Amino acid sequence: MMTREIRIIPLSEMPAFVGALMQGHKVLAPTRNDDGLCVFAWLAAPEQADWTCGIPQVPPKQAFLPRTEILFTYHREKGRETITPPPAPEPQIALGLHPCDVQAVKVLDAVFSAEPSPDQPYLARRAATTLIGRGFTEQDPLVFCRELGIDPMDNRDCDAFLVPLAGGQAEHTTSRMALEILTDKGVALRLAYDGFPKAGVEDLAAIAEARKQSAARGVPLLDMAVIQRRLENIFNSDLWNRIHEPCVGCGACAFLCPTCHCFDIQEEVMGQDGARVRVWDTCQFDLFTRHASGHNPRLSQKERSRQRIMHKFSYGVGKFHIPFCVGCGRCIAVCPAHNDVRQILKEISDFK
Amino acid sequence: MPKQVDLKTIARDLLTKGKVEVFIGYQAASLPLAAAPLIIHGAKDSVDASQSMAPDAERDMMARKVAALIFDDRCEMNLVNYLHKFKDRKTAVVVKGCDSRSVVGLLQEKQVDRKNLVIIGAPCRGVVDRRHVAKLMGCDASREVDREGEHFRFQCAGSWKRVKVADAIYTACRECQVHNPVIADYWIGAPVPQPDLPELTAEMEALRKASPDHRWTRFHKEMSKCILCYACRNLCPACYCKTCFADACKPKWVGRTDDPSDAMLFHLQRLMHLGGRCTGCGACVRGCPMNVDLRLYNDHLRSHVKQEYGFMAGMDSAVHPPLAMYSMGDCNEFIR
Amino acid sequence: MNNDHPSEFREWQPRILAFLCNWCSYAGADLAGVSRLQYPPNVRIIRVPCSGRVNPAYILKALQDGVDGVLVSGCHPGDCHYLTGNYYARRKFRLLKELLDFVGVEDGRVQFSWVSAAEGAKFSQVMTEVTEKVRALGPNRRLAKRIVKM
Repeated sequence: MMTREIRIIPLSEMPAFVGALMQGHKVLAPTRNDDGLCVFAWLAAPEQADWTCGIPQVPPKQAFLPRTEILFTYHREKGRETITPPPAPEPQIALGLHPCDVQAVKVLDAVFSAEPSPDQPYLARRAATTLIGRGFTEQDPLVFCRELGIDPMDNRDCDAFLVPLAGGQAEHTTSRMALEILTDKGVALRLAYDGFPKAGVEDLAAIAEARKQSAARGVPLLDMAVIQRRLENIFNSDLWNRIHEPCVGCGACAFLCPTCHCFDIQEEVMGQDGARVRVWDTCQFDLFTRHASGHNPRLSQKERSRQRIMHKFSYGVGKFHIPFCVGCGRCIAVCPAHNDVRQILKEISDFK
Repeated sequence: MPKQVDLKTIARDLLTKGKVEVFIGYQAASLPLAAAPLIIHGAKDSVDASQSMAPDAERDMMARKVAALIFDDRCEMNLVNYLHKFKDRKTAVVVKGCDSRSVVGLLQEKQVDRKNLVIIGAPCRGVVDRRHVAKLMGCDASREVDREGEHFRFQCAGSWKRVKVADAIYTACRECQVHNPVIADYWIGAPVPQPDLPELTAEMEALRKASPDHRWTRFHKEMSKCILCYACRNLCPACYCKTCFADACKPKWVGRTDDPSDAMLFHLQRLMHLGGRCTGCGACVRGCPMNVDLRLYNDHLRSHVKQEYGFMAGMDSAVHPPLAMYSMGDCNEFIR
Repeated sequence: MNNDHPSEFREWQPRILAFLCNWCSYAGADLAGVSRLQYPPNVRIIRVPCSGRVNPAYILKALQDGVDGVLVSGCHPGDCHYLTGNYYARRKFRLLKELLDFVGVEDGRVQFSWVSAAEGAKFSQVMTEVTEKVRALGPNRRLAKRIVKM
């Protein structure tokens, strides 16, 4: 991607930069909550953005697919209904996304823009969003995005991208961020970054070096094509009899997955007023597939666990040519039974 | 006192001799400071066995899994929850003190048959709270960790930090009154001494004395974290309803929006269902991906039931549960 | 659930939901009626077979749906039509009260009474007291759901 320009922002100046972004935008960024947990949350103050976080436990998907989204509200009076659409989404910025989270946004884009029925509320929020990614030099042991071919320094699909640079004495500590402006949406943030100096020759060399080092960290890629083909053939296999056993059937993995996007539509009614809302849902719940008749085609955890793997690694690849897993490791970190999707993939690959 | 045995030996014995069909224990998990459940099927297990597997391969797999069994202070999960999955099959389960109370609870409520159970008791001093350790260290939870006797060594921003194991265990463990299993067929360790603890923790005392507004702020804060993933419910051995009220949709009792009142209604109803039944094992708190502290509320109801009816859930399966009975002399002061 | 007054007179009035057992409290309400005893019109009554039939979920759901107070009223201890329903209910409601107090829901949002079929006067007095207590607390904001604006 053409880089339009690069600015250098000292870490100490980041609150000023974030504060400037907050003028005219809602900003979603990594923050630490009272429990010390890193989460993506809407900022109330620029200082809340936390640059020590790795991959926050709560993903950024809420920027495009809020946990609760009012599709429209209605009022009934004397037998007549008036329907009010929700206000248009405000301009917003998703800040500090790991390249795997950016890839997850691409997955959501593919799903929600698919013909014949592109999802208007999603697309409206997406259009109102500027994506600012962030590179990472260190990799958390649970993160396996490299195995999926995602380089944590890749600025692909971002409007702007922050490259952490070490400086001076502290060789391994980030002291400043190089802000790469990549698209028109990025350029539109000019007021926020204009005060910062342009990258000098040394900075450009440092950025190139960081990218080179990141790319040089070769890891064996997971062969998604093989996994997909294997999955196509083992739908009825005994393998699934065991894989689901530790799963307790909660929705933690799906709700905190950056690509899981299934939802339910519910009515919230009080007297003459109501709202049609969509809320997160997950294939791990019994209710997800239960028919009105009471019949449930995915009757046990076996079918539901299989669905999770199938959707991520087979159906997604088959339909959109992109795996619905980006290797962020959140599901591994939050699973109460410590089920590890990497081990499940290995079992599938090894299964004969 | 039950016989003390070696974990792997007893597992092998039970499984190979066909005394149990399923053995539920722990193995090291893929992330540091954590253990995952390990479910081992015996040779005699007919239900959903892998038909395609040769008997030799099946035996090999069983042996490999038995060799992977562990028990130590990483083993936080309450495995009793899995008994619902293997109902009507001969099952062995490893239980800590707290977990053993869940077994008693299920026996009391006739959810499991004692004849089908082999209970492997594991005396326990407490299990490690990864997230608490991370907080003490000021680093994220998933970094590498080392163990050095009574300390954890933890790499954090280029330097090593140390934390005492005793400081790293869950709050529920620090308040635990039952370190040794109350019911077991075998023990896999020597009993550990039970410290003398005050009836109420300082935190609970303070919260009870605080103003209703203060308590409401706290409750609101906890409930606002909840994303309604139902991990707490699904991990709770006492939550075994075939259709949970939260999943009922004709009519719908619990909404799924991010209005905090939805999470409040879910948790208040669940707390009511667990009144006099919660044993305080802490599974709900440990499994919550959002760190919602349900412990406070369960603890409060548990101490109310104990004070009012002298009842401790999960101690004696012969006692009738207090919310399923009454007395003429019950408190009447709150009724006009 | 709008108040049925013309809007110029519409000042805040508490809305109270009363679950009355069929055999005692509901008959007590009837007696209050035929005896022409007055009580505040803020109370809406739902008849249930027994106070023991009242699931705490009903109470919580009513509060979430925006009522300002809930009353559950049944037979006096010993008078239950089903012999023991109200005894079980008493333990259950005690637990609910403990829980609501502890989470910080105002004391008085949820109230309980025993009113017999012969106590028309007590019924009217209880309704007055409950209404005044809830009025003093003000509107229920804590458990009420706000996703739909009314």
